[in-house]
Amino acid sequence: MEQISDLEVIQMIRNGDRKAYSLLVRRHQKSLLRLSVRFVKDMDAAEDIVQESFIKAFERLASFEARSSFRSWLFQIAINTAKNKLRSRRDEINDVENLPLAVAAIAETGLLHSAVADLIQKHVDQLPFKQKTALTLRIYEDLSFKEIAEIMDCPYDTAKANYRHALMRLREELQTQEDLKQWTEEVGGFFMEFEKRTAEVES
Amino acid sequence: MSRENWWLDFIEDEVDASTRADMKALLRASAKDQELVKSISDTKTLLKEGASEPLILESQLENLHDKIMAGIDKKEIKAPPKLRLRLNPEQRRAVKAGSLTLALVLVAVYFGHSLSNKGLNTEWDVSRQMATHGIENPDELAQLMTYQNETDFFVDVASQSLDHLTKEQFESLLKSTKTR
Repeated sequence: MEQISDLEVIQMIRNGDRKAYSLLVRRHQKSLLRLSVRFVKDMDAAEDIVQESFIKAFERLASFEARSSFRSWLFQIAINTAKNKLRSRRDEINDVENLPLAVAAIAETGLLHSAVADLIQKHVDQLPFKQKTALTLRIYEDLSFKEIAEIMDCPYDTAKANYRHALMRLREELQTQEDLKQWTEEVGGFFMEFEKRTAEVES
Repeated sequence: MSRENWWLDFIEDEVDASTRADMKALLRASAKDQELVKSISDTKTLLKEGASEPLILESQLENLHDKIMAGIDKKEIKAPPKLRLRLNPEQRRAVKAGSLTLALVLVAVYFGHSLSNKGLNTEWDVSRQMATHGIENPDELAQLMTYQNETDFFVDVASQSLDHLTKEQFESLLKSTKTR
C-alpha cells in the first residue's frame, strides 16, 4: 500500500475511498508541520495550519490537475494559510524582537546553539515573505527551483531571484556577527561546504 | 549578471557541465572568487546547521493525523468550478500580455479621443500603432513580460514594504506627498 504514488491515492479517493486520504496525511504531515513551524514559530498554530491545509486540499481534490506534485500543491496551500494567519496577527508580529522563539526553545541542543538559532531565526524573519518562502523551501526543504516556483506560483527566475536576494542579504548581515563566526568555528561546520567544494575543484 | 549571482548559480548547480568546468578552472586561479564562493557557501551552511530543527514527536503526528481524518469525515470533495480557465504559467503570462494589450488599446482610445478633440492626432497615432503592434505580435509582448521577472520581484518587495509601513510612517509619507 505504501508503494503507490500520490496520484494513485488521489484517484482512489476520487473513486470514493476517502479513507485512503490517511496515506497522504501520513506521507506529508511531518514536512508540512516542519515548514509551518518555520513560518509561525508556534507548534500549536503550525498544527492548525497543517490541519486546515489538509482539509482544504481534500475539499479541492477535484480541482487538482497534477500539473505539479501533490506535495507542491499542498505546500502552496499551507504557505498561503500561514500567510493569512500571519497577516491576521500582524500587530503581534510587527515587532520581531518580541516573537516567542518556540522552535528554538523546544529543539535546543545547547545554550550556544540555541542563541545562534535565535539569531539566525531573527534575521530570517525580517526578510520579506516571498524571500523567506524561497529561502525556507530551498535551504530547509531541499526543493528544486522548479518546485519552489510551482509552490510560489511564479516564474522560475522569480523564485530564484527571491532566493538569491534573501541569501545575499543574510550573507551581509550574518557576516558581521562575531558570535556566529565563533560558533561555526567551534562546531567545525562553517567551512565544511567550502572545503567540500575545494576538494571538488582540486579533484 | 553580477559576480555574486554567477557564483551562486555555480553553488546551486544551476550551470551546464561545460560552464561548470570553465568556472572550476577560474575558481582554481582566482583567490578573490574563492573567497566569494566560500562566503556564500558559509552562509548556506550556517543557515542550515545553525537553525533549530523543530522537534516533532511521533505521538504528536499520530494525534494530528487523527484530527485531520476526523475533520475530513465532515467534509465533501467540492466540484471544480465549471467556468475555470485551465491555464499553465506560460498561458497565464500570455493572458496577462493580452490584458495589457487591451489596456493599452483602451488607454490609446481614450487619449486619442481627447487629443483628436484638441486636434492633436500625432500622439494618438503613435499610441494606436503601439497597441496594434502588441495585438499583432502577442508572442513578442509575452516575451517582454517574461523579462519582467526581476521587475516583478522588486514590485513585490516594494509592495511588501508598503504593507509593513506603520500608521505614522504612512501618514508622514502622505503629508510629504501633499506638500510637494
